[in-house]
Amino acid sequence: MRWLDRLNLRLRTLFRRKQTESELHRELEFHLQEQIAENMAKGMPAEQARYSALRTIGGITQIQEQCRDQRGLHWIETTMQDVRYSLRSLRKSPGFTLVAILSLALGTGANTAIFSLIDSILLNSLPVKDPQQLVFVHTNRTKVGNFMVSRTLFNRDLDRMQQQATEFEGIASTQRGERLNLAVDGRAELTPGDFVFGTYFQVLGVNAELGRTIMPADDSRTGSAVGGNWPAMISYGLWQRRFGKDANIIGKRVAINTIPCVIVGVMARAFRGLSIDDPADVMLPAIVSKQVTTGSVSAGFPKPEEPSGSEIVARIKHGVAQSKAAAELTVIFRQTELADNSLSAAGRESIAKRFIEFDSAARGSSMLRQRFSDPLRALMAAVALVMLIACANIASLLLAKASARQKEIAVRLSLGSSRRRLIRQLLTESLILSALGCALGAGFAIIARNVTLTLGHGSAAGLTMRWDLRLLLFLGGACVLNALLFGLIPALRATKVDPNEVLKSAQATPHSARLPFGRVLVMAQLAISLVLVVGAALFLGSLRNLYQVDLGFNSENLLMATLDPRLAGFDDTRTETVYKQLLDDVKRVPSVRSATLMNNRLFSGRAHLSNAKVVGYVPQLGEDLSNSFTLTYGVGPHFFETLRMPLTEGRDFSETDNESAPSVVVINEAMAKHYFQDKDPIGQKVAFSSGKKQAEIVGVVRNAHYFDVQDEKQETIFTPLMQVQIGEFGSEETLVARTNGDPTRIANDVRAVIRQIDSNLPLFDVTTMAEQVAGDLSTPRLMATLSSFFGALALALSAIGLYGVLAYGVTRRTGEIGIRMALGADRGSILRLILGETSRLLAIGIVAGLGLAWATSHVIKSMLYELSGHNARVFAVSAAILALVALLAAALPARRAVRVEPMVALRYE
Amino acid sequence: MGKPNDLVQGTLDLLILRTIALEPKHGWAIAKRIQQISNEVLQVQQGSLYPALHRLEQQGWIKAEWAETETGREAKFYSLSKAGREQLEKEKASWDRLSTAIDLVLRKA
Repeated sequence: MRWLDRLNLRLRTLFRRKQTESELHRELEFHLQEQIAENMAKGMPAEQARYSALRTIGGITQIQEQCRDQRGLHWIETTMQDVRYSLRSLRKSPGFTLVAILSLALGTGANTAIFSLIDSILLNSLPVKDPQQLVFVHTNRTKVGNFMVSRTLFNRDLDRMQQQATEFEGIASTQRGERLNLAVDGRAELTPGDFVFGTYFQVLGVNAELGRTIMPADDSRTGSAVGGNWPAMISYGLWQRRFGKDANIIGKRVAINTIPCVIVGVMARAFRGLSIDDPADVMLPAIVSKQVTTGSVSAGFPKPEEPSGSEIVARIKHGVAQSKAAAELTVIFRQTELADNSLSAAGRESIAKRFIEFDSAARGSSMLRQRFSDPLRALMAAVALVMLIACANIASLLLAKASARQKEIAVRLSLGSSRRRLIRQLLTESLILSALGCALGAGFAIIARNVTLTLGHGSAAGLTMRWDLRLLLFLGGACVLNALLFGLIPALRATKVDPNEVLKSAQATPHSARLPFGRVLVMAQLAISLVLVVGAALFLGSLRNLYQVDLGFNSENLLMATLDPRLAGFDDTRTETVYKQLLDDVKRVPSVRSATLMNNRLFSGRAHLSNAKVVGYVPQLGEDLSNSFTLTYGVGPHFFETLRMPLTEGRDFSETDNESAPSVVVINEAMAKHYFQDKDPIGQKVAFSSGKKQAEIVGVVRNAHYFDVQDEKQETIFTPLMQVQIGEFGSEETLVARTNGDPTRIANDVRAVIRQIDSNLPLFDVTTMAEQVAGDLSTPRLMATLSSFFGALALALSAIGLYGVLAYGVTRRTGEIGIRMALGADRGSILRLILGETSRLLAIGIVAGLGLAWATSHVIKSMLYELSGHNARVFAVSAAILALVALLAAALPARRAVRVEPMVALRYE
Repeated sequence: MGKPNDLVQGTLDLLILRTIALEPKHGWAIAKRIQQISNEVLQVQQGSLYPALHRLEQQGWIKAEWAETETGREAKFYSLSKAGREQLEKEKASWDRLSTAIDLVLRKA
């Protein structure tokens, strides 16, 4: 119990300070009185007795001070003292405090925002058991055109792997179900969903919040279908939002794309599947995937020889090396595929060379991560540099403040204050500044992060900012680090004074004899800002190049609308009628010049790759076409006319290119050049997968950009939608209409047309082609915008820093300038004095900055479009901008210097 | 701070603990007692005494109580706690060891 007493005592000293203080005072007073009494007993007169007693005891205050020191928790008291003192001192110079806190807030805000994006996109693990043991399984990727493509795994491969592999705890697969039409009690909504194998939840180690998970038994065709309905799980979020957390939800009958299902469970709270970008709200057994995606029971079940069309996720046993596990699957894969007797010799050879690879699945799959990973790292570096500049700024402000305070510090040192104590006090002040800045920065961060997401992705896509532990640690760490960065050196320098010297001289002594630390800071700031300005200029230049890319078609005045009749339960024949009707009706809308359809939007990040082969083509030496894929678009009549893609040969598609007419295709020049060189491609044949009809090439179209603005000329095939088997390209089509004038004006007319055909038709994404192109450039635009912002911020902060140092210098040298002028120096030479100093700082800053930028720009090379990281013009322009800003910052102090009146200056001295 | 102490810090603690081992005493009496017993050799400075008392109190070795002196005045009386008694034994033992050792060195070296 002793510690309890001690704690009590300490708390008492802390909270009942007044009482303990007065007790101490009474105790010492008693001692004094006893001493006086003793002295008087020795025969001293009263006055002398008192005087002598006081002398024997020594400084009462010192004793009191030491007694206080002896009591524990003394440091809390002194800290509170320091805090109060610091707050007072900060209040006394509100200008400084405001500038410091604002620049810190901007710095930490930007840092925290970018870090939180990195945190949620790059670092977060899935909410599953032992995520680091999870891998995605795929065959090795080879480059096809601009894509890295791996050979498809078939359902039979997955089945065999599940049965035979021994190095795994389990193997499962998951397939994106995209938008599912979930109907509950007659009310329907579009919900993102996944199809999963029965082993999925076991492999991931995820439980159900309520009810049960989908289980291996659900993979059987009849066994588990609950009363003729398929088992479905819903996410916690959907349960909350749609069903008000109804505990009786289990057993609820729903229809998903018209297929009857029953809810068997609610997923664990944080879990929404393996895709970070498109979290699922509904999970269904993989066995029912074909029926649900087509909305038709007649679609049957997945067959072993069909592509698994899904991501395979596996949990490796503890202690098994990834390479060993992959080797095991490679053997199984090759055995399974080589057993296919229909394979050609070349096909066999190709499979014998294929092997299985893993990607870590610990953090799920994310296109955002792939797309943003490099940009985010670059931005993190940029904001860290901005932070450095902000810290340097505050350091020089603190230096200037400390030299103004030199007298006070000297007095305190000579009165017996220890240097450590003073440093501690100055650091407390820095820490308070930093904490205030960080607190405000946290607020900025939330805004900044949402702006970044909107700029970069169009929508925040389920990426909400969470104040998790990592983020708080980051913020706290940044706060302390900042304070040390900008506070330590000024504190050390400020307290390293000789009290005698300082107190003797009438004025605060200038730092002239020492290394001009403030100047070093300013040079470093200028150099770092130059690096950021160069980065911003490179991103801007790259963006300009992207805007100037000739897309190969006219992207102005095109309106697009995507619809999917099958989601509403339309069968194939009705779907076709709907599209025909739609084209006819839209063409009747005034100011629509022509209209067509296509299966995937251009620049949407989605495209179909087909294994089309040119009939009769002999591969060149060393050319392996066994695993080649060609970008393929299914398009409607008058497609090339509507998009204004010029045909160099042959004809456009028309309404007569339907299922009863001979199959035809149009290819682009890149493909024509590859397969036909100088021969005429018209009339040649293209074969899609074996067993299907061959199609005749009826036209050649100029190369254009289809998949993204940055791609090279891709070989591409266009095939009439009406000749493609329904469902082969997915189930949604996009209407593309060319208008006279602003296409957004007819958006409502198009909506009305669609509603008139059938009010249940799900319609999404009514946008213009220009918006679609802009969307594809969102990442480069984000980089250009943010890097320009950070560059400007860095410039502004450096300008403030330079201004501060120069203005301080002019104030310090007012006397000297006065003497020079009195001795006959003209204003020009004074101006040269100040600007000369600026130019020296600037010259060193520019050289160092250019060197640094030159050495590091390769980091962002992959993010630049047709622009070298060492572009001389970019470097020159950036240096010029920095010089201009520096001279502007120098202008005010210089003006003040030349206006110095010699007489006033000398009298002031 | 800075003033040379007549006693090494650890020794002063030992002397204080020993002095109040028999009966509670106030600061003045402790100083007087040490001075008296040591035949005026050991002078305890107030600047060392009171901080030492407060430190010992913080460590829980002594307890403090306000009480009246024979002359009817309020004073702060210090007495040994149970832990203090143990501490006193420990310090005494280690002092004995130390002084014997020094003695040996002085005599035989």
